[in-house]
Amino acid sequence: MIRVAAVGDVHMAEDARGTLRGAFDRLPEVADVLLLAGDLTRLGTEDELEVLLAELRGATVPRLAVLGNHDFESDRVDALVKLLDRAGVQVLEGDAAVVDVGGETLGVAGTKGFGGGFAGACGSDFGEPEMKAFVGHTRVLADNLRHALASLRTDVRVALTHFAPVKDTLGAERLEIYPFLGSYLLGEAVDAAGADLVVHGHAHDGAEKGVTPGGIPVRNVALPVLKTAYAVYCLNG
Amino acid sequence: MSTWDAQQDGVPTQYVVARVRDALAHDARVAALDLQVRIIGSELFLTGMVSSDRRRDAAEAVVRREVPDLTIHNQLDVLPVDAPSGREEIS
Repeated sequence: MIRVAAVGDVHMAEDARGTLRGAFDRLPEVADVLLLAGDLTRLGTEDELEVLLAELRGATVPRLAVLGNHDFESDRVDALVKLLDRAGVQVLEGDAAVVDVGGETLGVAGTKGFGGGFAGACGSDFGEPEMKAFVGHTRVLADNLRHALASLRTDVRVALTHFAPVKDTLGAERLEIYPFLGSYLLGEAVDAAGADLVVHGHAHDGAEKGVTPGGIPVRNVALPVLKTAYAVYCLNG
Repeated sequence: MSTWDAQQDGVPTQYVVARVRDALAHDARVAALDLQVRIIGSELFLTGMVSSDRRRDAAEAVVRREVPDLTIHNQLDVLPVDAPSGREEIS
């Protein structure tokens, strides 16, 4: 059994220093790996990320992350990825990582993902170049996720995104903003490649539990949804 | 009076709400896209979740700066961040 801890949308900054440390210190007792589902910071600055890395110091398990939209706000993505890498947090974007857990293997494929909406009520890459770029960005990231998932030959496979792959986990979010919360293209990619679990964040007013149209469990681990520092999911290969 | 007709200094209320939400998104102390703002008459209700008391206070300050004449009800909650007490078996 592999125990996966996951949380997204911690939106860390100086004013929240110390709030997560206690829970992360206890994490190695209850989980084998930690997944961070994007929006690690409030404004995407190195200073904010340094605060999060200090919080994470006790979480001495393999740590994998995707970035979220907030992490792009200051246009410092390369610097953030370097900082994370130096601290031993592997950032996934269209690629995958394999973690050995007591002889079992966990494969995690990740992407930030993007919006566009859900089947039957979604944007199309049609018309203005801006609209094509918007939907096209999601399509590229979803394709990359599918290839990354399909490349995994592990006992357990998890897809990690920031944006939502299904509507199920949007809960009390307003219908009007669904296209900014996720895209069915991400769910379709996961269903095509197969996985044991999908973990995402971004939808703060969402619900924790959902399922893809193909029957794969989806969990929204945004901190405001969980109302705990992280959730722990146990997976059998 | 419909929401559309409600006004603040001659500006339809929904535009005021949009302006306040935009300010909450762009103020570096808050940078929150998910806080809810509702204006009823001369009262503004601010709801949602933030990650610290300081961010809660900063959000109120941003709102007060944008709409100084309204009575502000800061009903923001600070997120609990304890370790989980259980776990889920995914099957």
